[in-house]
Amino acid sequence: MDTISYSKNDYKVGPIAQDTRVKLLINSRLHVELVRDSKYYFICSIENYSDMKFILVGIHLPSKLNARDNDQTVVISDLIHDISEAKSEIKTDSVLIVGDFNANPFEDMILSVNGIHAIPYADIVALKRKRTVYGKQRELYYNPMWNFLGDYQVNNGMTYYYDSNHAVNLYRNIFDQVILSASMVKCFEMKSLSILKNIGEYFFVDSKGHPWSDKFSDHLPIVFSIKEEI
Amino acid sequence: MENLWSAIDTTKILRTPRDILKEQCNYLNEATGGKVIAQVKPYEGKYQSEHVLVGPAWQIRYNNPKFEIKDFDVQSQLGDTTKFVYEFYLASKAMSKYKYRIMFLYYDASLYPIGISLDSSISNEIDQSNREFRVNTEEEFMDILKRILGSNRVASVITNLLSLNED
Repeated sequence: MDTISYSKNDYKVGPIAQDTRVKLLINSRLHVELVRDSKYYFICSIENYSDMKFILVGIHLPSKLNARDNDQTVVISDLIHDISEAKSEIKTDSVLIVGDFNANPFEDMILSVNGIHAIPYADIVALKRKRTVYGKQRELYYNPMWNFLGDYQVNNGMTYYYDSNHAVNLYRNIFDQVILSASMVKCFEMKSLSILKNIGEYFFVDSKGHPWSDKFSDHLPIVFSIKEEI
Repeated sequence: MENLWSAIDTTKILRTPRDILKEQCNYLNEATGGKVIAQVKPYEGKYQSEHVLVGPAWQIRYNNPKFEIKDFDVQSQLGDTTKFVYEFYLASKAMSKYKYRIMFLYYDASLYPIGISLDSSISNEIDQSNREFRVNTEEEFMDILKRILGSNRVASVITNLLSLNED
């Protein structure tokens, strides 16, 4: 299957070079080129007819349950290196990272400067863009998924449920995230961001509100919109 | 005046690690008719993972006793004398922006030992658990290179890139 049609739009499968855990299905009107990939991610250059160009990173990082020592660290290190090279080669600072991080937004691999360096505040990211850490400029990213943590404004917010006997047990996890570079913040439509529990009559959660792994997936999908620059 | 450069033999030109890789590039380019190419190019960016230097849980697990593999820190092992850094990668005629980097390679004027920073999927496949390591001789380099280029990962990428050329 190379293309599918839905709601008057054609979608094509993104280019693949390696056997990767994450796949891309993209509107056929967009020009997409593969830049880097690995078992755990792909990095594509996306262009539309109005010459809007950005880097799309799709990821499915190793699970903490199955990973060997440092697996996640190695993959994140490679990912950051590859994104940096892709930005230089494609000549754009606009980066959108989306997928299953198998980590929460507050974990080091996402929040720390040694990881993706993604913080929960769009205005700070858009204004500062970078910050200096021990003499080196490090790019900031915006992670809007922080808004789904806690229970003040969000009811039952999670994309993954896990009950363990470990010292720390969060129960409700936000493993599936979208993260944006400073240049992409203005294109992101915050109000469109949601965690899908159903599409019409098809419910992705069971009677407890947990991801219905037997029927669909142990993760819930996220949805969001990006405005095109014209 | 007497010529004091008595140890110089200008007829003896050594084959550098880069030369060895370039030979392999030629073999692949010929085999695929230029549709999938391997290249070895000088590299100026970061070529080692930071985790190797800071990771507290880093353990070296290397199953082939033939090689003397140690925790390799380029700053202490090769230090500022490292002058030659290369990336070795696959590219495709059909996907002009794509690059699959097989390894980084770095050495000084003495050629050996050479440092290698290998793609993690390949290192996992060939039981080279320490993806960043050194080899001390040309024989060792040829041996590890044979395992790398003969890996399923490399074969799979080449096959996929060839298939894309057929589209």
